[in-house]
Amino acid sequence: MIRLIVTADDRLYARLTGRVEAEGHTAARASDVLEGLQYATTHAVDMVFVDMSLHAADTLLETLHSRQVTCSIPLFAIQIGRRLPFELRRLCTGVLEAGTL
Amino acid sequence: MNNIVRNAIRVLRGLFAFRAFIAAFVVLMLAVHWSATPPPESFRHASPLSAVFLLPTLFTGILVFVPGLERRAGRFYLPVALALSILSFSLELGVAYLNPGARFHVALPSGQEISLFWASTEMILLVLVPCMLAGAVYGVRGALRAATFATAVHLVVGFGVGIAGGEVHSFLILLPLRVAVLYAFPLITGYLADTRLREHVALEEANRRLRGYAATVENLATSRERVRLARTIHDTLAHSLSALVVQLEAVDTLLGTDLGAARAQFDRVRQHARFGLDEARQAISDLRSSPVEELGLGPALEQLAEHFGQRSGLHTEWVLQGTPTPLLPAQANAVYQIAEEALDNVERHAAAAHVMVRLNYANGITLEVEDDGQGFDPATIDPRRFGLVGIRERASLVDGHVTVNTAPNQGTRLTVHIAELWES
Repeated sequence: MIRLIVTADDRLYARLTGRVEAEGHTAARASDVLEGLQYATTHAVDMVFVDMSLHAADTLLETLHSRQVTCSIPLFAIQIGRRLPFELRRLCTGVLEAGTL
Repeated sequence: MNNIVRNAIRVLRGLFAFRAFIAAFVVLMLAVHWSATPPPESFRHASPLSAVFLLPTLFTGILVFVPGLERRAGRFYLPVALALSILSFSLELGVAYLNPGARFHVALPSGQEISLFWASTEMILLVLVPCMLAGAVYGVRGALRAATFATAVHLVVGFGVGIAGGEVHSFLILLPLRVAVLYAFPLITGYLADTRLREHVALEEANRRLRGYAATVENLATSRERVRLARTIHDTLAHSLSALVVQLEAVDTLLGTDLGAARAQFDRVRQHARFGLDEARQAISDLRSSPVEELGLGPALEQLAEHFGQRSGLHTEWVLQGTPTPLLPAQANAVYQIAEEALDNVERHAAAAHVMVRLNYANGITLEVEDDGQGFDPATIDPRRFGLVGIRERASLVDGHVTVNTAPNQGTRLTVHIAELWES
């Protein structure tokens, strides 16, 4: 099972990869939103983690939710500090606070 | 009256119109022939019963064309019309057996002759049509009833033909085949109609369940949202208010003993009240949906341009072109956020006096943000500056394309075009 992590933050990626691999899954990385969309639409990804500090991360969530090939993939938003707007929270299976990871 | 009954009545009318056309053609040919030559033998020696057998066709033909009769007769109209049709055409079939060789020859100007039947055993095909219509409308049971009625009428007609001295031998030879045909085709039609009806019922049931599921999901979402609202109110307003009550009680106690401590406590109360107010405002802001969801893309952009003009003091113009097309939230929100980022760039970097925001719905959707500011030389400026990379990324996520037209002291025009709008 591939779990895609969309983040430019190496430490966040390392922490998430550790958790994903401990659960027996494979972690894949995309360093920006376009790479993330490209990967999610061309690979059999079963979960996507999106670092909300990336530019246009909100649009990535909405796009993944809108496209037929990716709309069934559970989305997790990872955020530091600010609260995720309500309409984006609705699109996500879960919202993770980076500080608690 | 449902569609299938209405269509069956139309087909029946068409059948009688066809019969009338054939009859008119034969009468015309007979008239022409009669004026030129003596009447044909078969016609002169026609059985007197023929006219009686033809009368029901005339009567039924008139009946099916009486305007508004189907509305007055209601659900009995079609079964009666079908039964009369079967009866009429079966009797016409009898005419052919009463008058064997019921034909006449017409000489053409070219010297050739054509042979025309004025009564034909092929009438069985016209009997078949109402039987099949009964199958189509009432299913297998209707088909069985119509076929049995047609067979019974057929046997009675054969009996009548025998009594009147007609051609019974050829009637009996073809009887088994005709009965088989009278049952087989209507039963096939009836079976197909029953299958379609079962599928229709299953589809209705599925639709009903789907509506139920949708209502359940909606109720669940509403319930979940209520729980979230309750938690938010509990964590912000209720928490702050209960803290305030405790602190005010402390102020009350201190007022009688230590005025300095009471004042210090009062300051803490004020601080807590402000903090609580900020939290409540934040919670309300979180609960609000985006302007695009609330107003739609066009009005949300118009509001954005208006607020931008008020905030920045720049003369801001809003232009909407074309007929608005419904967009998926992903694309609409992306366009709105790009406009926000572009206006932010104008305010921070352009040194402009005038800004125009234009939304055009022709060939997809096009957003333009144009200013009359200092512009820049694209060749010398790092393309990653001014957040252009971010704008391009956001646009690419929703299949959009960004163009920037600018030159030093000639303003900047940023265009985002989405050619392919996503369907919901």
